[in-house]
Amino acid sequence: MVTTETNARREDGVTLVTVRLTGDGVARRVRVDNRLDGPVWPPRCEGRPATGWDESGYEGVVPAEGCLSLGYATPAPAEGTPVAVEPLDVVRDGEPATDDDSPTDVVQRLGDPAPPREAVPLPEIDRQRAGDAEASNDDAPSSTPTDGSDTEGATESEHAQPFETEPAGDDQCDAPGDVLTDEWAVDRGGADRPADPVTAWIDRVERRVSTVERLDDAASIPTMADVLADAGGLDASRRTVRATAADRRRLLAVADRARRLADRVAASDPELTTMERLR
Amino acid sequence: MILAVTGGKGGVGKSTVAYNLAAHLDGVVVDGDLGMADLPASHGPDLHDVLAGRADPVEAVREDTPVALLPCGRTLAGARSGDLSEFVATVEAVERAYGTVVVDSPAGLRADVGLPLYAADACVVVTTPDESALADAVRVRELARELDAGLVRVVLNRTADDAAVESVTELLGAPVITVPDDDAVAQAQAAGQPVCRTRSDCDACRSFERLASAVDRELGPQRRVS
Repeated sequence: MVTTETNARREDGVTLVTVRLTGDGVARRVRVDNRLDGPVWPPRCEGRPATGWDESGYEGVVPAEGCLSLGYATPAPAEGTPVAVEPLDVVRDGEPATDDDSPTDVVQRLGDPAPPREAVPLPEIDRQRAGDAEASNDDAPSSTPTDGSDTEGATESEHAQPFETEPAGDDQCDAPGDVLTDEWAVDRGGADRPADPVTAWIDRVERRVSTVERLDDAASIPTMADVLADAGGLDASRRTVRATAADRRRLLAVADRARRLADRVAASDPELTTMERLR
Repeated sequence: MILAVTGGKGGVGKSTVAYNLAAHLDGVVVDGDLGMADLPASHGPDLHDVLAGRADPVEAVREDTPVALLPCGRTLAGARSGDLSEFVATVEAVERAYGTVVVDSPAGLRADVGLPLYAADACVVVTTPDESALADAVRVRELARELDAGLVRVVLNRTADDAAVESVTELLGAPVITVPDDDAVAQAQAAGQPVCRTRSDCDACRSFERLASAVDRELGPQRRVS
């Protein structure tokens, strides 16, 4: 029986989870699923989740003698047991502990050639906003309240936000409402703009769901073989199926929050015309 | 069949070889140089869009160009926006639709060079006789070995010097085809055409034809007609 020790602590609005798994005399593959109410922010290598990590947790091998230590972050509060550990098969001597190279392994081994963020010029609209913000800061004492609201959120770091939505940070965008402001939502759409994190997340979920549906629909052995190959093999398919379980939880949470927001919108009808008289 | 045209060093003629080879093989050329694309640009979705999940790989293939082409975007923001590990699935999707894919790989030895080799059934290494180009060709050849992309031919570009052929053959462990330095190739490339469409009688065109025949001979069974 694999022994599990876990710890979750909250720091600066992020929960840091550590897991220590101690072997039971045989090398055993295990599945570690996040149980906190939020996305997994896994450790990364070259911008990609480190080997074994996916959107709902980790899968790897606990050595026969020794331990496996893991750590990840999540925006969810540290309430309850942070992970569920499921022992899987025993890994025999000589059997590789991990799958063969995947495209992600190649990226991690050779390095991501994407240009550094600092080298990417701001689109014209962002430069203009940055300029506005700078000007507004320079003469802040004389700014009108309207000026202030126009430049709200226009600090340099927040202007950089859209560029932090590349795949390297995709998983961190799984709580879309925490990242995307309405301002950015209406500004997007240019062909060269990175996809917004909400759309990118939904697209990834959709791809996983389509894969799981194809796996589910495969009736004949040749079809199953084709579908499995398209899905990246048996292990990748297992990971996808598990990831969709986490997707479902998040989708329901987002749907619930969206419904509540929509209800609040429906319940609000401010009398702006009356307020205008106050100016 | 997926064929990676690679070389390690920049400026040795990888794009020219990839474009002309795809023309002879009647395949699709994928401009895999995410940061410095140099095959003909076109309107519509490109590889950056595909890797960012904004476009379907097959829908991004342009058939109205002289050689069917999956072009690459030319902005740094675009080069950052995509998920590079989707590259393999992308070229495989194009292969399923079109049968033959030639990937024009970038210079260097990073993942954008490794992934075409990972996806490819085989590769062609392009080099010039310069020492620095040969050193990079050896490095990329090693990477191709690690990633199981067999080396079909070495293209010794911009030379008609047969004296170098033997040493390069020995160095890289594969037969060499020379492509002479020919203005017709540069003129055709500038016009967005493969040289076989503009000067089919030139020596360079015959070299590309020999290269395509070698690929066909050695990888013929893996070529699928769409």
